[in-house]
Amino acid sequence: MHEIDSDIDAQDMEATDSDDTQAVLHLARSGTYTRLRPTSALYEELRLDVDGRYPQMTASGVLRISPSAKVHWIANVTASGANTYSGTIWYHEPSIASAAHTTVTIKVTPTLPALRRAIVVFTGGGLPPRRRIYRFASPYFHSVEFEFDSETAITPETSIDTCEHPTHPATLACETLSIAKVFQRAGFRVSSSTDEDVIPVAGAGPDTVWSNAEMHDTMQTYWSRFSALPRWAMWTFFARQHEDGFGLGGIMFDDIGAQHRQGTSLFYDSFISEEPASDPNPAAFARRMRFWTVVHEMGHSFNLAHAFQKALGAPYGSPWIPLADDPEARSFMNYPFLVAGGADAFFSDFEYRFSDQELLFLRHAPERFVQMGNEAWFSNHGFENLEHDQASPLALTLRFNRPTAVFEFLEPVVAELKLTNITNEPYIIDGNTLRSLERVTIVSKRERGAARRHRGYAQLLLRPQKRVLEPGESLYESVFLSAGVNGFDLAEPGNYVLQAAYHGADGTALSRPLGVRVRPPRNYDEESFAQDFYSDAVGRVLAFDGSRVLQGAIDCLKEAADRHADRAVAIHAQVALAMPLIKPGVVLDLARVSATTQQSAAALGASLRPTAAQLTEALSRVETVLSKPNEAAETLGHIDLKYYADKVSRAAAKQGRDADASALQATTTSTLKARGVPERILRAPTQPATAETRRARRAVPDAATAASAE
Amino acid sequence: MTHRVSLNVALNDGFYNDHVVIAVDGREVKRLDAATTKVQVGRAATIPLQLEAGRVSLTIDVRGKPSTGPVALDLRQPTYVNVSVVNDTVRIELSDSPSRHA
Repeated sequence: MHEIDSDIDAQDMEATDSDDTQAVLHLARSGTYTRLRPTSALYEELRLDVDGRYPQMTASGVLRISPSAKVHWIANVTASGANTYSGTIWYHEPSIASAAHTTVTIKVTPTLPALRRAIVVFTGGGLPPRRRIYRFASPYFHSVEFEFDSETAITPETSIDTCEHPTHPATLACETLSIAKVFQRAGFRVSSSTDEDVIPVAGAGPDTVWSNAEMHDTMQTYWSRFSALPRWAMWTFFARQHEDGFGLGGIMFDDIGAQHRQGTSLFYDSFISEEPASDPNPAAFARRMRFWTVVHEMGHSFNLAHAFQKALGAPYGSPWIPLADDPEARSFMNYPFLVAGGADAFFSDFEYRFSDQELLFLRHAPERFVQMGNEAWFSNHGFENLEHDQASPLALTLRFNRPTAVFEFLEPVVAELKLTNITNEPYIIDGNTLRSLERVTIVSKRERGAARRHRGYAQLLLRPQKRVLEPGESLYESVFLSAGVNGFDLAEPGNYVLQAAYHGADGTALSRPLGVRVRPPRNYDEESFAQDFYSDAVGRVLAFDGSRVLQGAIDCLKEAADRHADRAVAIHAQVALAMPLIKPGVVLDLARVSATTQQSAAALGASLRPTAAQLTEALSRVETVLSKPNEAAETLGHIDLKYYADKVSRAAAKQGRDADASALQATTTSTLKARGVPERILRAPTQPATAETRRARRAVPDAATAASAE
Repeated sequence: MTHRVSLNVALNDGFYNDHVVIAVDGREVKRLDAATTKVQVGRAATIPLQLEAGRVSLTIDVRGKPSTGPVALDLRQPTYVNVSVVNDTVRIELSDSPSRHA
């Protein structure tokens, strides 16, 4: 029996455009259909795009195979009968054998929206047909919220009279076109924040021109919806001038930090405000350029590339599907001044829209590719076009400290990166290269699935430390691959291929593809526990070696340590539970948090609460880990095991527990020695980490001896 | 009084972690260790310079790419030098107005 969906939101039925009115009242089929409530583990969506504004004759959706497995599919469809559309499915992400249907047929019941249904049958692929019934939810494909702020003395222009300038298509509707309406026609239910701030120019510093970093800071301060999470929301800043000067009309500045594409800006004191003296209406020309610029930049926040760079791939990123450059496109994502004939030719043929290729992406691509703060700017796929540069002086190895790359279900995956100078000459490199991972891309690909780029929770900004790698010498670093801002990439049982690339100034070093297998759950208990374990909070606690405040995740890890004590996940849980206890700390207590407005911690009555070290408990947990030293070394990796042992030992010695510190070192040293780690590396002290994250640990020193042990 | 003229060097498309050295009359004026094009605007960096009017020799070296050799300029008015990397080749274009990016 299906759960009853919520009633269609009345706002979805509001018509702000005559075509949308017609669409609603005259039973247009396009829009979003859903199955079950969004809170259901089996929630599904269907997007049908066959009529209304700029129909793409496409259907797409999310099909649930199980509570933890879903497939995003896309099909080209044509009308195959009364209210019926059929076509070939050409996209699955990931590819799951049990959901690899090749054909879809969709029959829409021609009734009022509140009663409208889509009956969907998936066939082909050698699979039994799969049938679904979806309820009409909205004439739009996604929702998005815009917030517009402006610098002092700048008046934001968020709409345009499309016929004010005489150069326009003869068929262009003369109207006041708003930014919101542009994106509504692209398929978005647009809402606008009423929190519009006037931002003092002081944020730009003494030079009064904005850098990307200054705008990013301003976004975090003034954007009422700022969050370190993916959201269908973005911030647009109308400012005077960028530090790059008159030649930069606007920029999607937010390729900073972990969440990209949340902010964008345009600059009134730039070429976009030039009023050509020879133009029939110079002021209208400038207003049109500014309107084009703001929508263009907002398009980048939706992860749209320039029309003339659709095929651009590595090393900058890659398109979500093979795309062709379209330098003559009459789209917001093209530069009017670059087409043949220049701006006049462009605007004589421009209908204030995105191209069909772009609409396909906006409406039907996997949500994370489009949603702000989700997939990194320009990044969707892996190394499809990347090849190892034969001239690269470095070789990259991605490996595990175990005989076979087989992991238990629930076991966090920690790998080791090794970057080796393969020339006969010393090579100068930043010693922090593998710590920051700024120039390293790691991709995992599940069998028959799409490649996913590993995106950790933190990005480290480190001062470069020049280091000389002698011939044959290597840098080493551990990397926690299990979880990141993408979620748990290696959670599903099955076979994966992992590969890493180092993008150096002297060429790209590509690691050999590494096969990894994740075993299925042993029993229902593990499968059930996984629903709690595979959460963002648990991922972050594991990645950052513990937490004093994320109680839900802490409780989950305690359950892992207790109920699954014989499993590798328990080792990682014990470490994450122990590390915050080895020394005193401070917790920011927030009694109340406003979900709608940003306020200072002081205004919210926050207080700082010291926490005491609980070294005895920490040592007990570490002893549990080292009661199975080989298993610990294998699952944590050699670098991390030594790091944790050294850190706990230092804390114990500081608190007068010398005997415990010595015992810990003795066990760790003998274990790693037995596993072939050279003596000189074992004797070298691990440098204190500068941040509480696995990726902040320094590379193992004296790597030459490690190389000789290979 | 010495008349100074602005010379604006823009590193545009095609840069990725490139080591770039800009020199005027053989003297280094700017060094970038990891110039990378922001594809959303087609620009990696802008280097505004103020130089004495007159003849200068501008050199832009991108490590690992064939050198284009010095570019002779007669600075009388603001000059814009647009540099891009196309198929591993450095291209330099001169203009009397800034290149436009958005």
